[in-house]
Amino acid sequence: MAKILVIDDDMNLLKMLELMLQRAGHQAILAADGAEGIEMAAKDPPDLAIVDVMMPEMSGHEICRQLRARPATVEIPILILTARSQPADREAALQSGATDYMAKPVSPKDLAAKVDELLAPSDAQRTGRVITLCSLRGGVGVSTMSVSLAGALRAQQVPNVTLVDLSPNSGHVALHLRIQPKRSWTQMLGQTKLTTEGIRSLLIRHPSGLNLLAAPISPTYADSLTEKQTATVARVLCDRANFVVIDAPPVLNPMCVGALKAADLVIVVMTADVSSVQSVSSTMRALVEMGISGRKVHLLLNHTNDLAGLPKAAVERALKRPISFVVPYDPGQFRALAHGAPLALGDLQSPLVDAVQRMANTIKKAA
Amino acid sequence: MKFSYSGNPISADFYTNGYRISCQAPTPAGGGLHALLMDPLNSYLEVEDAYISRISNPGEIVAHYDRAAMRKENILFIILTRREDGALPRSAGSYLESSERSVFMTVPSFEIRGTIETDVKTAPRDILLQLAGRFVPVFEATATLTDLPDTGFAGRLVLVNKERIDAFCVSDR
Repeated sequence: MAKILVIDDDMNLLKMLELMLQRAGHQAILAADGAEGIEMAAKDPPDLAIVDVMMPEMSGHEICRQLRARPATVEIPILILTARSQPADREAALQSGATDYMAKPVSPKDLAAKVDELLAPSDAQRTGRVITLCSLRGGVGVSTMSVSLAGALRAQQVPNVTLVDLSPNSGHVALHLRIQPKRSWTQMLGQTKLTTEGIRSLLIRHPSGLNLLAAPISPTYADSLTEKQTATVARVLCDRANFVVIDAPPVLNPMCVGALKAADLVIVVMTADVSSVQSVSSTMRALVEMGISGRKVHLLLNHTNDLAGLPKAAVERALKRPISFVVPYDPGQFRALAHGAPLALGDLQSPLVDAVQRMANTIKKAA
Repeated sequence: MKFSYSGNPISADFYTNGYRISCQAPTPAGGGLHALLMDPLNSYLEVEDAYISRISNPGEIVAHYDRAAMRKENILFIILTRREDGALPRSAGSYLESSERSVFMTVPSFEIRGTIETDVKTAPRDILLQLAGRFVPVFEATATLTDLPDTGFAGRLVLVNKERIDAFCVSDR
């Protein structure tokens, strides 16, 4: 049974939703306006909030923004339920921080199905999956691929996707998303015990709905997180996310090892050149030595420029492994980075987006 | 003539030149919104619980008021999610069986596509003349912003103000 907060100014609808949720086996908590609902959520965070948009004192969009701005409520899945049913309304809802959107009128069956879908990540029986992207050679596009994959999953309506940038040297994931992070994983350094709330309070919400655990803006001279701490971070974030996508640092430090060991899926990113093939070859040996099963390791061939490079078949022969994903060169990526607007979160047709969407689909199906 | 508003209020989106107004329109029993729009004694339409958005950012609400009045002649079109909320009268003046025909029309800042029910042979000009009332019912319609073609609005029934139509095109099939 989940605790679900419903915020709507229509008392008849509140009562009807209460009945529908109770029949589906949940506990409904009712609030007739935004201020009351936000206060209730902050005091005792619910498992899910269902929010109307058109309310006189505070709109549903403003409620979403306020819930996302508070550490205690930043991760609550929010379902917008509104009579405004145009595509622009869906877009506005998601931009304000909602996890999903439904247009009224809604049938009890559809509502119950959507509630189940949104609650699924926090169900103790099911946790999200950790995908760690890595390369022991810099400059092959690990950050770009991490942001693109997370963006593609979110664009495919995966409700809760968290992106983790473990770079100790001013990671670029925040730059890709045009975020200036005021908090990062460095705030966990030196802590003897990491708490769930402490870890979650470091997340930053992107307007697309992605959550980000950012790297520090400036290079850190301090120690990195330990292998155990990194695994704890991945596990805690997984409890409420469908997917946690980790951009691992390009060195085998404790954070990288922790992220690799915590992963359900490891994606080794490479380019089509000899030095990258050599680097991947030694990476694969290191993964075996760490006890990481080859079955969960996949290769991603990323074309970072318009040069032909080594043919895919030649790379596969050299590594004696198939390449699972190929991402073509896309000149639009440079502009996307400059504007802080990842291609995968936009609606433009692009070779990179097509390839990453296919990869996201494959990963979703395998999950 | 005064209507008695004994019917259920219906939710509708009104579009003017620059604004989208989502509101509740109290309708006469059995009359639907069309009855209010056809009332010749009232130039204004009174609505309740009006949420106003700028058409440049149509998902964002910029104001809310409990009551509002809209000048009928300045409404470009109205989007209804349910056909029955329009409660349309039958067209007069034709003994021929009507069929669905694709239409395209332009009003200031918008282009509207959908289907209308009319007989196959009627010319566009005659369709507009024969339709009763100020508003043309367009079914399964989409309205697209001329300057922002990616921004569209859809409804099971769209009532388009005949006086604001610049071009009205009809397919013969």
